[in-house]
Amino acid sequence: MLSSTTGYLILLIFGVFFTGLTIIMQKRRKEKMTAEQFSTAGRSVGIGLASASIIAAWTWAATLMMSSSTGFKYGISGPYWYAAGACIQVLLFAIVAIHLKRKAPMAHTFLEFVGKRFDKKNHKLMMGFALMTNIIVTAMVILGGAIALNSLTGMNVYAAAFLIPLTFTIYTMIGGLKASFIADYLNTVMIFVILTIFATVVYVKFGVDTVYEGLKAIPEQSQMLTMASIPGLFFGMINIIGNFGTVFVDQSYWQRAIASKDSAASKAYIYGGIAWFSIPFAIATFMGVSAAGLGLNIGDPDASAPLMAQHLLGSVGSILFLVMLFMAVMSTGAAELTAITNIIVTDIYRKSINPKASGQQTLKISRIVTLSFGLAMGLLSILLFKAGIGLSFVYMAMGIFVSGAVIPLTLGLMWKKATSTGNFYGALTGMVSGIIVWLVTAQVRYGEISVASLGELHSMLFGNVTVFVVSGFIAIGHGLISKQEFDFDSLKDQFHSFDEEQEAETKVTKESESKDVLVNG
Amino acid sequence: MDSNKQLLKDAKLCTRWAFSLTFVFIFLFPGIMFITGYEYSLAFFKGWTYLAFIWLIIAGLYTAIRPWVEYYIEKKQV
Repeated sequence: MLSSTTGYLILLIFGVFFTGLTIIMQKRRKEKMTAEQFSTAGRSVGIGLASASIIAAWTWAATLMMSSSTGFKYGISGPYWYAAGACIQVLLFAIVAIHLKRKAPMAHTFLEFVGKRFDKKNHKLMMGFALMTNIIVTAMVILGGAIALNSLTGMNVYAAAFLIPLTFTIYTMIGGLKASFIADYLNTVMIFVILTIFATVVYVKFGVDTVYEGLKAIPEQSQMLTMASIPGLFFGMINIIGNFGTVFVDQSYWQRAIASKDSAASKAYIYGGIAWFSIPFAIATFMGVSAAGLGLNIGDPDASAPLMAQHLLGSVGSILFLVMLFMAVMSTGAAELTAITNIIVTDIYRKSINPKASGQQTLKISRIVTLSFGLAMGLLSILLFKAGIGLSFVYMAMGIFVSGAVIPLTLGLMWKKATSTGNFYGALTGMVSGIIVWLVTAQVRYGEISVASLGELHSMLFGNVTVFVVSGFIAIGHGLISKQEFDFDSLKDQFHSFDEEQEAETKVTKESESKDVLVNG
Repeated sequence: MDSNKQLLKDAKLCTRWAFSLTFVFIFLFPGIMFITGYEYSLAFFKGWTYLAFIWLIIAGLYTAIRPWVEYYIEKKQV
């Protein structure tokens, strides 16, 4: 057990380090920060940085903790299903990302696209889905970090929940999306390094044979050494379906496409997805499965990874694990924060409150929104915690609440026949019927509606499947019946940079820049 | 126009990759393993952990190095 001072020190060191780094990088830049730069990182990010950032945004604290828990519980099928079941969404996202890039090259958020492609109703509904996703994910990430800090160092949970967002809010406020990209890169690399250390120690200290013998000795029905594990498969299915919502409806993934160069947008997701696969796969195999094989005495499977880290390297292991976890929390938090800021600035401030805002004004508002949301997220996480909403419950249930938007959104980008009405009622009815099926299954199968019965695999699975079937059926059905056709070309000139006036002045430099881009691309 | 052509080409390529990888990860490999109900032998389990380890190393190196390579290439061109 580490002391609570270690926890505070880690927060302080990383907060100061990344803020300092951002300030230095700002000083060294020749151009001035503009609103467009702040929210799109200049649309010039290459494949490498973009894929590192996608990995960071998708590596939640849950990726490290929960994947190990599945390895501990289900054996070797757990890590596989965790990794495969959550990596395909990122791979498939490459397809919609490139469609957004093609059809709305100057958009800032996917909601801006929805607003022009469909009617106002859709824009509002999708914004509801998007903000809900961002806020829940941020709260989950902060809480996950706070709980882990608390259990490993004894640091006060509320203090942790309030201090964690502070560490990434400040540098995001100063440097915008680009700063979040740099931090993501450093965090991802550190996570890879620490994971490699853990994996190597497992090999050197215990050897694979010992782990294997231990797994063999576990009673027959636990299916630790085969992919043909029914609970593993069930978990895999929920993981696959549930995660579509948290990728497709989350602005932070669209943002990474928007910030990328044209030539990098789609490839970054493919490379990022494949590389991300190795993180949960390795940590769950080396920490979760090995912990089961070594017969570690673990009360709560969710704590298998930190306990294994301690078992491997003592308090050094605990510190390494804590650093890795905190880096995962920080980069996802920053990604979500820039996403929330962009939605509020683009789709609320510039759309409804002050459409004629100048670049300077927009930049100022962006910074204010980032700061206030960063601080508010700490408070919100504490509220959720006080309300007794558990982490793994939210993780599993989230799909039911947000996935209704997945098929309508995808259709909107890819299919000219998708209609406003079909999409609106598809998404809404999908969510409502999913919740009903979820509640009914819990009642019928388990005899009561409670957090426990709602959290059961069957309730979750049926609820999730219903959301997809209903939303897809309505959205596609109405599109086929009404036979409208949408002209995607009409969208091209509808999106504008935040820095229009400034750009008019510096048009000459811009033109030479775009030539560069062509040469590079 | 050029960049649009490039995007169309990319779109086709990445669609193919995304779908085939999804098929392999979700249906092909687990499907075979599930139907046969194969129980891992020591050698297979060893291979499995090596796979996890090597995948981690390659993914880590790629992620760490690629941004720098791109950075230097870009610097040279300017």
